[in-house]
Amino acid sequence: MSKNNTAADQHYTGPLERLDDCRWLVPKSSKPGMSVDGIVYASDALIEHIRRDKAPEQVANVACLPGIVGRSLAMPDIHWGYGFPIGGVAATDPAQGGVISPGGVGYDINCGVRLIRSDVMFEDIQSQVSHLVDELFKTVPCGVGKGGRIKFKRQELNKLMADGVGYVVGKGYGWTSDVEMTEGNGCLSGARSDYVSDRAYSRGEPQCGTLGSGNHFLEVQVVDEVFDERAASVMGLALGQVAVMIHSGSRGLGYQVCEDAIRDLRSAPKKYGIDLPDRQLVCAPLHSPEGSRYYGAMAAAANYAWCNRQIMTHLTREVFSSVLGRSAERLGLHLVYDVAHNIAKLETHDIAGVPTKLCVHRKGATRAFPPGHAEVPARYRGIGQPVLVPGDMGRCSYVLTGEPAAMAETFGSSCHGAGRLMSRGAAIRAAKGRSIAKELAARGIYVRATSRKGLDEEQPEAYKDVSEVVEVLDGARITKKVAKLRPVGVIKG
Amino acid sequence: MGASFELFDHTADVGVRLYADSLEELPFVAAKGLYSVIGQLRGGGLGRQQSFEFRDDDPEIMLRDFLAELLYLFVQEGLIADAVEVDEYSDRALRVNVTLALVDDGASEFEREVKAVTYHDLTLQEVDGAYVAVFIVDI
Repeated sequence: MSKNNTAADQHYTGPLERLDDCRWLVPKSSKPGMSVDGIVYASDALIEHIRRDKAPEQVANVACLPGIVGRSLAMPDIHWGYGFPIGGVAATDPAQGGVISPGGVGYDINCGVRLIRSDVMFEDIQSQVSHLVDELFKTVPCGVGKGGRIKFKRQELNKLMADGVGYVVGKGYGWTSDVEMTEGNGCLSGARSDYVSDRAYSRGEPQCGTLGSGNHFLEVQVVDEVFDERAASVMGLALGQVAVMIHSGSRGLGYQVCEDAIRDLRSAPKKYGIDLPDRQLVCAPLHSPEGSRYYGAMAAAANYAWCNRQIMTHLTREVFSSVLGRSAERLGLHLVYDVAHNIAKLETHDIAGVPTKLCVHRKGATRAFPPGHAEVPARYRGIGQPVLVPGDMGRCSYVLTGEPAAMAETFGSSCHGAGRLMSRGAAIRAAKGRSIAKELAARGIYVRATSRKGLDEEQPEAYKDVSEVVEVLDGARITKKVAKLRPVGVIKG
Repeated sequence: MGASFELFDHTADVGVRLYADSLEELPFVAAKGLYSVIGQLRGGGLGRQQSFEFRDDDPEIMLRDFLAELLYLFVQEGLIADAVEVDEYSDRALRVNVTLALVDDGASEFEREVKAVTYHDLTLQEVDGAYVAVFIVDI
């Protein structure tokens, strides 16, 4: 990188008013066209990082979307994105002309995270972790543009995109229980594969069951701390236990769906009289031909993403079974949960006491429904929906549960990760003369990566401390901490 | 001076800034900028010639659309632009003939997966008789 663009001229200098220890207001008056206030969840320390780029301005831009209700929200892992900020949440009311925007979902449709627990204790397999990671690295395809050994033909992709996880589980890539432990049973209704282009199909055919690159990862982790014994027990998590976390999305199929949709929607703002502060926020009323087409294709790509993570789960179980010499069932490799963090969903929320069907965009934000919610699996209904928050590859990740305040304040949403602190260029400069893999090895973390530069860009210091991020939402009673997991083996594409 | 590009930081993504003396130089230097984000790509065997035509009233959108086509050809067919001949670049159309080469996997280094060429902060400006364009890619 030859130039630093996060210099002073890229700082946010607009209004950010401190409301309390966890909340900051971007007032409706701060930008012409805003129809609601913006709220950024952050501590005093985190807000200083957040001001260093224009993410708060993007919170204000999102507040200009037609039909937005409540507030334009940003989680503490917010950073500068394109269109929406990463960490952004916005709900629109389709009955009032509310829009759907691909910018509120992103190119990696249904990028998300899943956690697989095991009955294996770290102390019993410590010496085998590097072998496990080597075998996972060989078995789970990863890296730039990589395809996998499992390929789906067009007709199979049609079913996969219509039925989601249930389809690939039916083909033998998983257990029946995996379906229930996936957000929305791993199937977003309303998927329309006939709105998915030939290009997207061709990109999707070889890539279901592949990790990708960038910030995607597969980690072997250990439960390092338990904050809520009851909830952890319900999830099957206990101190010292080995688990696997997978972070990936809809691969080339999803990127192409978003690319196609934005082209389709380019003329929509003029057609519907929508004035946008950023072209990447292109949108159309959900109940318009353009909005319906995007929703149908986006749902199809979301279902593909759930299948992608499901097939990687299947491959992970095969590797564990082969390396540890016991069946995946005997190893207790159950899916704890799978969450989407780049998605738009139709959900019912209370608006001024009236249950209202809204289009909730989560762009780098995770659904966090509280105890008792009908969409939380029966097993977790007493504790709330598991929220999976990956940190960086050197520190830790968290399992949280949704709290009632999330429904009242954030349309049942929480953070999705640590959030980037350094740009990719800054991370490369900071890694000069160092070996990130060796540094991690010294901390007991064995890493395999396809690209050294990719590893440099994803070094732990490139991210905020996920513990700080999680504390803000714990303090705001949006989510509750259940367990902390630390990485012992990492695969990066 | 000749056309050139530089990469710049954009938190989780990467920006590319282009400099050219003429509009006609922009598509090829933009392609080079895009490929440099992906890694160090080396062309091997001859791929094919392909013509592209984009129609819009916005030159920066047409440049982005051209880059999106090149990105698709790279990810799906392993092709990169070896030469770009511009027949027209106006406020109505961009028409180009591209010589595409197959990427030599053995001689190339793949560093990043570019998901898309975004519309965010997309600009093309004439400055003192030269052109400066900016695009951001999603990583």
